Amino acid sequence: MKTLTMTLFVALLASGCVNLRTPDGYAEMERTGLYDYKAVSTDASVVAVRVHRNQDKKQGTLAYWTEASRKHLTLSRGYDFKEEGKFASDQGEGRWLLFQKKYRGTDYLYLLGLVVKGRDIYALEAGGEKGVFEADIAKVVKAFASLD
Amino acid sequence: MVIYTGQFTLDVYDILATQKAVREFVESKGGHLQQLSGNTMVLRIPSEQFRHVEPHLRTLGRVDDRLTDIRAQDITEEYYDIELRLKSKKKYVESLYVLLDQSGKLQDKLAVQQEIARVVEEIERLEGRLRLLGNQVSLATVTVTLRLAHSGSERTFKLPWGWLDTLGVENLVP
Repeated sequence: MKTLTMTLFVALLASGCVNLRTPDGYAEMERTGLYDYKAVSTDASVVAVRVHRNQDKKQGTLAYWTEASRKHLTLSRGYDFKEEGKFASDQGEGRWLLFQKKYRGTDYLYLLGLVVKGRDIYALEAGGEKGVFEADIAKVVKAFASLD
Repeated sequence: MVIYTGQFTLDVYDILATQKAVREFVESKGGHLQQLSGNTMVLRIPSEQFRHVEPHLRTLGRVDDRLTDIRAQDITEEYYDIELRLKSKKKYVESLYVLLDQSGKLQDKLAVQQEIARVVEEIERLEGRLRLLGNQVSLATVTVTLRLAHSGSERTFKLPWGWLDTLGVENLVP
């Protein structure tokens, strides 16, 4: 029994298990590929989460990674920064940044949420064509806040 | 009394969108666009909001710090000096009007009228100068020049954290 519990515990750790309440209108996909969580709407908007390693858990704060992400996306990748906000999750305080980018000839919105907990950086991403995703922003931020 | 002026050059990916963002920011602070010429905007913003300009521009693009010029010119002495001169000239004009009333000969009247005209012109010039200074003190002048980021700028921004490259719609959407 102890062996089984330990095996399950290790498996849980290894899987980078992320729990998020899937927003209405989105359906969760099985966990394959790059993301630890991914859900897609019928308009092809996506919500996804990936956990990255925080190499410096002392200096690599939420403020640091928020600014690094903002600068990387605007200065290296051509994203236009629109607005930002905060949210609270069970894994800790989070910040979200909203960007716009022309992709495949169409305006897309990209929402990046970040939560930093020790050695883990939770990158919560969501995006879709501006015309359809804009209406989802509030409920996606709520979904970010359900990060467990 | 301080006149604030700022000149900033920004490298951005979308000039039109950034112009709109800059204008909206300034208007939200009670300012306005004074002039738009090509990629250069001249904006006026209440002086007490001037300190918010540079931090906000840095969220819109990469500020070329080599071309940034921020000045605070203290014109207190000049302003009060003009006020004093104005006061003195107005008193002088009053005394000239009294003299005009008292003048009998036509020649004397003409001479006094000419002097009144001269001094009134000086008064108007000084009042205009005071209005201009007052306007420049109450509204800071900000000049923002936008450049396309992928042409003309020498520096390519890059952070070494590999996971940042995995962010974005390009990887996210089907």
